[in-house]
Amino acid sequence: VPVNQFDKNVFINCPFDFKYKNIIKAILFTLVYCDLEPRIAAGSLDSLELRLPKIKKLIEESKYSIHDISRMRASKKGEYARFNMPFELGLNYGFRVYGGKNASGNKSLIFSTKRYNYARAVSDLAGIDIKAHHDDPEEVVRGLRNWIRNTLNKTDVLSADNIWLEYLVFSGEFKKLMKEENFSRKEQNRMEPKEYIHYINKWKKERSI
Amino acid sequence: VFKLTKTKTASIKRASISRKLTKAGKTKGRVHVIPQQGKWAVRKEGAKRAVAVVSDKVTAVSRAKELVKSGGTTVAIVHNKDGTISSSYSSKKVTEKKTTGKKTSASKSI
Repeated sequence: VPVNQFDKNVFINCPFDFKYKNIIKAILFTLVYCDLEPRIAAGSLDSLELRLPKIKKLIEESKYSIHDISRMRASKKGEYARFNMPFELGLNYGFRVYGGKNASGNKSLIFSTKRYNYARAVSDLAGIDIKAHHDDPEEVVRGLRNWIRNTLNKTDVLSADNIWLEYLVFSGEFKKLMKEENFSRKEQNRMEPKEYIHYINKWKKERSI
Repeated sequence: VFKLTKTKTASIKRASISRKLTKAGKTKGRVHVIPQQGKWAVRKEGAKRAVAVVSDKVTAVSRAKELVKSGGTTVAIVHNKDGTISSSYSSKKVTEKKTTGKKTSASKSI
C-alpha cells in the first residue's frame, strides 16, 4: 500500500443492516468529506475470497479504524447477538500490539449506541473510551469529525456544524435524484457502501464551500 | 434479453445520477432549515455561522421564508434528520412534500 494511501485508509467495522443504514451513511459521508478513505469488507464481488484474510488485509492496510459494537445485544427474544464487531475490534487491537512498526500511529474510534452497554458482554473493554451515538446520525457526524480533528490532528476539516449541513444537503439531493431516476426502494436500501461512497465522491468533486 | 436490458438500464441510471450529483454539488447559496443539536438552524450554504438557531421548526421555517421573500436567497429547503427533504420554498412558488405517511403536495406563491 502506498504510504499516502495508508495514511488515509480507515477500516470500517460496523453493522450494515437496514436499521443501521442512517448511521453507516453518516460515517461514510464524514470520512469521505474529510478526505479519508473508508475500507470495508462488505461489498466485495469476489465470493471466493475468505472473509478473515480479507479483514486481516484491510486492518493491515489501514492506519485508522472505526468500530461499532452496538449490536452485541440481540434486539428480540430468540435472536442471536452479533459478535463479529467485537471480534474484529480484537483483531485490530492485536495488530496494534503485535504489528510492530507497521502499526505505529494506528488509531481507533469505538462507537456504541449507549456508552456502557458493552461492559456486561466484554468486560475486557472496561476503561476503553467508547463514544455513544444514541443511533443519531448527527451525533455520529459530530463525534467522528471531532475525532478526526483532535485525535488524527487533521486541521483542514470543516466545522462539525458545516459537515452536518453538508451531509443533509447531500442526502436530500441524493434521495431526490434516486427518485427521479426511478431507483426502487429495494435498490436504495440494498445499495452497497462502495456505491454510496462513489456517489459522495461525485457530489464532492466540484463542491466548494 | 430482459436481464441484459435491465442491467443496462441500471448502469444508465447510475451514470445519470453520478453526472447529476456532480452538477448539483456546484450549487451554492441556498438556505437550509436543519435539525441541529436539539434545535432548528437556518443555515446558508458556505456560511460559517447560522442565520438563526431557534427552538422550534415552525419559527425556523418562517425565518427561511423571510429570507426568500427579501431576496436573501432564491431557495429554502427544509430537512428531516434522516436526510430526507420535508419541503422547499422558492421565490416563485412554495412546494411542499411530506416524506412520511401519505404523500401530499401543495404549491402557492410566497
